[in-house]
Amino acid sequence: MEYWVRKMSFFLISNKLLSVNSLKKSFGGLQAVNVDSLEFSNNEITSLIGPNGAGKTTFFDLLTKFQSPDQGQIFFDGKDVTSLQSYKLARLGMTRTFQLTRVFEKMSVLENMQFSGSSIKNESISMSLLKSKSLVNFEKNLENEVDRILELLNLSHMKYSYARELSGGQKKLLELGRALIRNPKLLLLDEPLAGVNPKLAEEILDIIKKLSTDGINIIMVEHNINAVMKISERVVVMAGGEIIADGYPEDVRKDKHVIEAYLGKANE
Amino acid sequence: MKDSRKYLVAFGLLVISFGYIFISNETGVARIFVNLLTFAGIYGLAAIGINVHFGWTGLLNFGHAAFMGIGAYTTILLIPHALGREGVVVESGLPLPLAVIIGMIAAALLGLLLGLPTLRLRGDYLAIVTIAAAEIFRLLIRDFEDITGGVYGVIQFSDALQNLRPNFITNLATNIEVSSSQLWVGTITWISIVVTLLFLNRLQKSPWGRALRAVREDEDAVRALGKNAVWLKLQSFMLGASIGGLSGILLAFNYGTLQASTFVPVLTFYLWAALILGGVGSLAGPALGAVIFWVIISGTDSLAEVFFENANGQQLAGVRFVFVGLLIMFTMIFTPSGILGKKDELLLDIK
Repeated sequence: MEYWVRKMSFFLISNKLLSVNSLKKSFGGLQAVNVDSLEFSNNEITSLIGPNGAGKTTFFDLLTKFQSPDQGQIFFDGKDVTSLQSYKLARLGMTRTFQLTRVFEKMSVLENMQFSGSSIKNESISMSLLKSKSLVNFEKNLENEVDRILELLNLSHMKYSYARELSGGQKKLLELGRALIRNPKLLLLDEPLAGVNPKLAEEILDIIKKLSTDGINIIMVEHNINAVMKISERVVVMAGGEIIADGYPEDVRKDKHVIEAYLGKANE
Repeated sequence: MKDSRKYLVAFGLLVISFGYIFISNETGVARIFVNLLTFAGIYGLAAIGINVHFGWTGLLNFGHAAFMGIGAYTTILLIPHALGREGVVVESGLPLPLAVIIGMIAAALLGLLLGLPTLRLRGDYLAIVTIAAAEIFRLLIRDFEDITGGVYGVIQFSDALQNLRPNFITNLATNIEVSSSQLWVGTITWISIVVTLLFLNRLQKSPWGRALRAVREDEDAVRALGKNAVWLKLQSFMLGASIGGLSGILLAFNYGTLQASTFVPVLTFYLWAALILGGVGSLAGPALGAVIFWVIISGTDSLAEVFFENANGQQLAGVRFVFVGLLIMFTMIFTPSGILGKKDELLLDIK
């Protein structure tokens, strides 16, 4: 019986890019994430907001398999990916960034990008030793692609610098670029604007918007409500590990539960 | 430090240390040099293996002696030898090159065996596991007397290598009055270093080397970008282990006998000293560090006599390591990334 329910649910959601089914994760007695069902469809910028400790980052970790759920299922691009390891999931086209930026500090910007874009096949010892023509050509094309993306991100002038020499905002950009060079289907951005000055934040928002029109699906966690309202087509609000609101930005803004979650209950 | 200055410092240090040994020994200088350079080469080669682990991939391996040991025992037991207390002679065996390859593979397999359960762990945990594993390995070797000769070890295996010695090496050795067998081991050691470095140089600049550096920097980011960090670490662990295996084989041939007590933990720490002196992450650094380490080991006797009158052997042995310690201290203060290391890639800040 349960098997058929699973099968059926698979058919029902297979036209969706990403969906989760009764996803639960707790740490000791704390229910960090408890999401009954959530679907993300193609060609959307979705923002995930909520007060601190709402479980947004844990939810992200579950989606990308950086943590395993206690129960529930995750479907990505028509496949059940619940038991997949994180790097395999990333190979299917789901790429994430981190709340605390994770660039390879002691590698150059170019190397950061090259590593991300290089093919798994070329990264074997034997291929690397042989240095075949196809590998050399691949690396040459890769560098052109890196140049194109660095141009898009205004990082061209830092190409040969070590990544740790970049400013906080530039590191965010590099992390974004590193995700982009993999041509992801779905990009999960964990606070892409945190610690970034308003002008650079504006630029990053423009880039995100452009990526979305280019056909990349984006889910982001962000605290900057103004930015969220401006670019999102859909806003999902979490509090205490659960989804408390889901809809168009304008509607969510007026939602009673959301206001309560952020400001606390009004005195009666 | 700029690159040219770095090499100038390295060259200067070598000139000073060699000059010192030259001046402080009136007789048998050639013999001292051959002995020093052979040991330094073997240690350098082993340290190059650790450098692949730590400098390239960020893996803290404190059990390198085990990789050297398994390489040595596998190879030596596969060629003609005499075993144990009774000296049981085994006359048949594989040809040496084949035995060496199998020995290196055995070391790589031990790396796989150790790596599979432990490489999911982070930094310091791996260090603890490797040091324990190396001790377990050494004690097993010591106690399985039927196979390994136990505390009596293995003897009479040098011919397999010495039969391959070309005449000009023998002639040269006679002319400069050094041991011809050690000169031959030393020559092979330094050829091995050059070949290994050429091989590693190609790898370091390849996508594979780049991927290892990324693992060293941040494993989670590597996973997020669709790369199998554990597999990359395993490969690095196996490669470094097989280089260690090769150096263990050479060490056995240099001693002419093979005993479990050679592969004590302190051997691993000498290798680390050489690596830190020479420069973590640089290609030739470990070999240079090993040379300087051995100059101190074999050159401090006369220096110690300046401080102590009629110093006995035990005091001299102590003084050696005071000098090693001092040199590591000065290295850490004045050029923390080692003599040939890149300052920008200083790697001693382990998370």
